[in-house]
Amino acid sequence: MCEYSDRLIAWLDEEVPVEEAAVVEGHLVTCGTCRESLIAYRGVSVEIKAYCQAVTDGEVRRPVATWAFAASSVVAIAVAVVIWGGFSARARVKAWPDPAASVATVAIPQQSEPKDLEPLRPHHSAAYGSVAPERMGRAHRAETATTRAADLNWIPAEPSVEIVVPADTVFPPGVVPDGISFVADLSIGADGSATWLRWRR
Amino acid sequence: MSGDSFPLVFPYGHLTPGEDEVTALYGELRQPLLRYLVCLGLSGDDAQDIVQDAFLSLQQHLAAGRANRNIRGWMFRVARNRARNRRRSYEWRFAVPLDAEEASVAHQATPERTAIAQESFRRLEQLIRELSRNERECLFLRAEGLRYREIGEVLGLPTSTVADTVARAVKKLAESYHV
Repeated sequence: MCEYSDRLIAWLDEEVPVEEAAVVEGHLVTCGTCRESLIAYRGVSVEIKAYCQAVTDGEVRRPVATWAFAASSVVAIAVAVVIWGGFSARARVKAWPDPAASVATVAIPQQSEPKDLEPLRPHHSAAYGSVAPERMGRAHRAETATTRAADLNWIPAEPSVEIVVPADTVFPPGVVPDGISFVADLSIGADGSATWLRWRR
Repeated sequence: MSGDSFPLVFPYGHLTPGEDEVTALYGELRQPLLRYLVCLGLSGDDAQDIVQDAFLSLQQHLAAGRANRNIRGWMFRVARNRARNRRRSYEWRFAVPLDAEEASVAHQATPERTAIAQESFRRLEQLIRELSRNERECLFLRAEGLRYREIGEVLGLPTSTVADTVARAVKKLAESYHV
């Protein structure tokens, strides 16, 4: 076996110093065995990339709701997505009663939860606040009970998700008077991505 | 105003620090991260969940003013750690017999899949299965364009070890795949 064979792959990956690269390139001019090996290594590298792409294409057929991530990056809002028969869910948004609270909460009425789904998928939430991501499910369930108890007048008529957003994360202080709340209609497509969001008062 | 719609616009002052950078990285790294996670054996849904989690972690990381050197390696490491926490699916692809898996992966009739000869694909998958875990992971990370130094940071290995591992894995595949 040629003494350069061990360095061919590092050279192929541009991981050797410039001086050594020149030596390897000079060797390749004269060594047919290394040239053949290089072709094989390059071919395998291409095949591995194609393999990874093909496997991913077979597994990931649905586009991620990129707008949701962009929106969450901008406003640090909590967005919970519940796949329920692939159709629309109803969302309700209102000002957080305690301005000091920094954690957006999401409440999902019990009757809207399919048994085979988690009540909340915290990775779709945009703001974890001070709660560790891996504990968000439990934290949100606790908040759900609190929110539900504080807002007994609202009884959803269909599968729904309630999003409570701290007002000071969305509007400057004082812009939204006390007692003003908003309702958001959130439509979720069959692939789980949000198709539109409409806010109304 | 009831029933009226209005654009979702928020004051600039409420933007999270580093969000521009996060958005740019999302466009750049989302697909490589998905490919890496799926190749490790995660389902498409799990992979997408982890990628979104990883970017939320990145946003918090940058917002906290932490170092943003080698973000790419950092993102792959976060994604890998989260994948390992999902032990039920991690390495699923390489833990079950090939015959059982073929029905779910290799034989799916998709345009992408048919672009690759079935026999060649199956053979390569079998060879990858025979590699060690480190060899597989090094190859998958290398396929996403990570440098040896970055691969070492993701896997917790010295750069020289990564170089040796990559060389060994590529040679094994080349010798078996092209005979």
